Parts: sequence; C-alpha cells; structure tokens
Amino acid sequence: MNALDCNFEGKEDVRQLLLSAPKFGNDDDYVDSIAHELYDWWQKLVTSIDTLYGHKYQPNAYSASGHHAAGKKGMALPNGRLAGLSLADGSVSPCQGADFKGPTAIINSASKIDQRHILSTLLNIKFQPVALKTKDDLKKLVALIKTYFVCGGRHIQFNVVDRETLIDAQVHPELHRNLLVRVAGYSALFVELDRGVQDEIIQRTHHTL
Amino acid sequence: MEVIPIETSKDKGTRGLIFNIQRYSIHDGPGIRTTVFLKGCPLECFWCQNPESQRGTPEIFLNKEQCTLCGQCVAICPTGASSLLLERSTIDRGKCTGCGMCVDVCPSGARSLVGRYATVEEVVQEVVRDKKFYENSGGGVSLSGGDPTVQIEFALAILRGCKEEGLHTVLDTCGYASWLIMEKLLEFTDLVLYDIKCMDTTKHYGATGKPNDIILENAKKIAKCKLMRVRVPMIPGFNDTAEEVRAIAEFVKDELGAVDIDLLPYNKWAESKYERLGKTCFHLEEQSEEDMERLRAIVSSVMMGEKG
Repeated sequence: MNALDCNFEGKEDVRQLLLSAPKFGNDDDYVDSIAHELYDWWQKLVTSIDTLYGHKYQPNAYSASGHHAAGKKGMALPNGRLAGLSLADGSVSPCQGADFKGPTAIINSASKIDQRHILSTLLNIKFQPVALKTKDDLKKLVALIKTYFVCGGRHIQFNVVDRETLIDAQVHPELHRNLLVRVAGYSALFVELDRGVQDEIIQRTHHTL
Repeated sequence: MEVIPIETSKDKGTRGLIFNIQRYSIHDGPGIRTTVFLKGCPLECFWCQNPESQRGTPEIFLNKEQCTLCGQCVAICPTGASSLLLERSTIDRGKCTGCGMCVDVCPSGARSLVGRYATVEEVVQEVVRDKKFYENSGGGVSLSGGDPTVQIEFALAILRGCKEEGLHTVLDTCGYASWLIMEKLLEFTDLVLYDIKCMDTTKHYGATGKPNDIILENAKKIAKCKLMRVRVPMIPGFNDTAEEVRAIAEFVKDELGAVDIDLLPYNKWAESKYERLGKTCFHLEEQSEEDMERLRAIVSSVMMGEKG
C-alpha cells in the first residue's frame, strides 16, 4: 500500500515483482477466476438497484475512451501500473502488454467471464499484418472469432497494423491521415486521437503468428 | 547413428527440454495449431531461424543494451562464466551451464533463460486448452524444434498424449535421425513437415555439419507411409538458385511422388537472437517477392511435368 501511495517511487523492486505476477489474458485459471468473480459481484450489485422509474439498472462495461481519461486520474495500481497511465482498453481485454500467450489464450480468458448479463463486453486484439496475409490466414481468423462466440463472447474487434506504422503516424501524421484504428467501443482516425490514447494503442500487445 | 543424449532426469520420457509453446500458430500446418518447440538439434545450419534451439541444454539470452553493468551476475555465477570485460557484460559460453542463477538476480531484465524442463503432462495440458480452436479450424498440435527426434522419448510421449486427446498431430523435422526413431514417431503423426535443404551431400555437410544421405533415405520411406509436405528454406546464396530448386523438385517428383513443396523465404528476424546468444550471425539479404515467385514457378513446372 505504501508503494502504491508513493507511485512506486524508490520501490521499483516491488513493482517488478507485481509486474511479473500472473495476469488476466493468459488463460491462467486462477487469475481469470478473479476477473470472473469480480464481474459477477458487480453485475449482481448493479442489477439489484432500482432506477427512478422502477426498473432495474443494467450493468454496462462500455469504456469508449474512458479507460484513458480514468487512467489519467487514477493512482498507481497493484498490477504494477503507474499513476496516470491508461487502464485496459476493453472491458474484457487484457491490460496493455500483459498478455503474452497469443489470441487463443486471450479468448479463453475472456470467455471465462459470464457475459450474458453484462452489456458491452469489449475485446480488442491487435494483429501484425503478416499474421493475416493469405486467404488461409483469414480463414483461421474466422475460426478464431467463431470459437469465441461459441464460448460466450459477444464482441471482438481487431487492429491490423504494425507498430512501426503507428509510430511513424505520430511523427508524420500528414502521411497517415486515413489510418483507421479501433480504440474501445469505437473506431477513429489515428492521427486525430489524443497523444495519450495513441500511445496506449501502441502499447497493446500485437500478435504475429 | 548418433543421438545426442539429452534427458538427464531419472523418469526418462516424461520430462524434456522445451523453449517455447506457441499458441495460435498458423504457419506450421493446417488450421489453428499449438506448436511445441523442443530444444536440441542434430544439425547446425548457419542460417538457423531459431539459433536458441540448437543446443540441447538451457542457455542464457543476454541483451547487452539493457545491461546496467551492476555486476550481480558476475558475483553469483558458480562457474565463473559471467564477467564484465572492457565494461561489457559477457558470458563464456564454454563455461556456462545454463543454471539461470544470473537471470534470477539480474535487475534490468537483460538476461533471460532459454529452455525449461517440462513434463509431458504439463505440455499436453497446455496444448489441450485450445482444443475448441482446433476443432473449429481443422488444426491441432505441431511438434517442432530444434528437432523432435533428438528427445525421442519425450517427443513420443507428447504425440501419444495428444493422440489420446484426439488431436491432429504434425511432426516438423529435419529428418536426420535413424529410421528406428522416425518410425516410432510416425505411428502417432498425421502429417510430416519435412525439411530438405539441398541435394548435394558435401554442400549439405558444409552448411549444416551433417551429410544428407540419411535425410533423403528417410524422406523416401516416409512418403510411402505418411502424408507429408516438403519444406525448403530459401537461403540466399546457398540454395535459392534455379538449379538447386529444380534438383530438389525433381527428387521429390521422382522419389516421393505427389508431395507438395513449400519454399520458405528467408527473413532477418533471427539476427538479434544470434547476438543475444553470442553466436556469429551471417547477415543475408531477404529474397524479393518476385524472386520467390520465379522459384515457385520452377517447382510447379517440374511437378506439372509428372502428369504429362
């Protein structure tokens, strides 16, 4: 808690330990069960509250670009995230760079969350263009998406762009005016986004093969 | 016939050395696959795309750019392999046993361990996690390396375990193993991805450290009993010539029959790995898309000739 209060200043060792702890998005049953429980608890809580008109509230995990704005105001977190940095971009997306086992592992993690009673369960995955070059590659992507929906997924969307292109677009926005990217719940022209949101998209893990 | 002795554990066959389990592997056989990379290879090709796979023991990746010269690795190293020479962190690879103690103390993450011992059960459990994806895409598990034949008992146990789970299995091999070993693995293999580098055995010896006679003999035997695809890595200046490609295609057509050939273009991705292992890297130029088309056209013309 001390380390969090001071934004890990002088506590880099603690932060490294936290960063190396297992994270959501790697098909790790233990970590994923925490996400599952948390969503369940929150969903039950929200649906138990009456609205002004006598209906029940509906839980909605829509982040739009709120993950960036909220992150800016947020303190350091026990996952090793420093104060002021973006939160995870989609409601069932792993944190930027926390996933390292590839898209199937992310999907397995995301489908462990019971998405039936929650709206806007967003999942964003970033691919390098080389992973989607041939017709055969696209067929495999289709199988990937199908599997997610069979397992209870509701939404999945992709950014297919390499890191170099994004970084170049930050330096030379005039050359990349038509570069469309998926943010969270919406798509936008990359060059028109806030710098912090741009950085956040670059930090998301991209999958090559 | 030599087989590199690797398994040191008592419960032989249940534990082996792997350096990666790659999920959503889409370029190592049909459908969505999980590729298990076993460490250790009988060949030592100078262009190897996985140079960290060659040695049959754990190794240290050292990224000098991240090193802060703190010297903790030198202090803890039990064999004196780590040193700070001329203000550069270095590893004497002859002395290094790959124990990984320096990795544990390295505060900057400049050092990482390549290769870990895993049980068959552990590997199969990880593979089975993506079963739904295999079913929806016609995929399965691929065994690659290094070369799976080196850790024969381990490889066999993984394939058997995956077969028990009803998975489609691919064996990705360079073919340099005795037929006794090959035969055992084939029993639990659905498709063989078979590497052929060049036809001339002296040239093969020079580039890989081993002759190719066993490889070509095994290829003929496999073609008779299993589904196979021949894969030819295109190495600039070594085998990416019209003559070499034609010679390989003719061998496949005459001796193996209707077997598909994939020409794999060279890429430079592995260069940084050579540096991290302290190995000499040959900087080669990648082929252009046009070069590859030209070479693929040669393969098709040879294979078409078969029918006519």
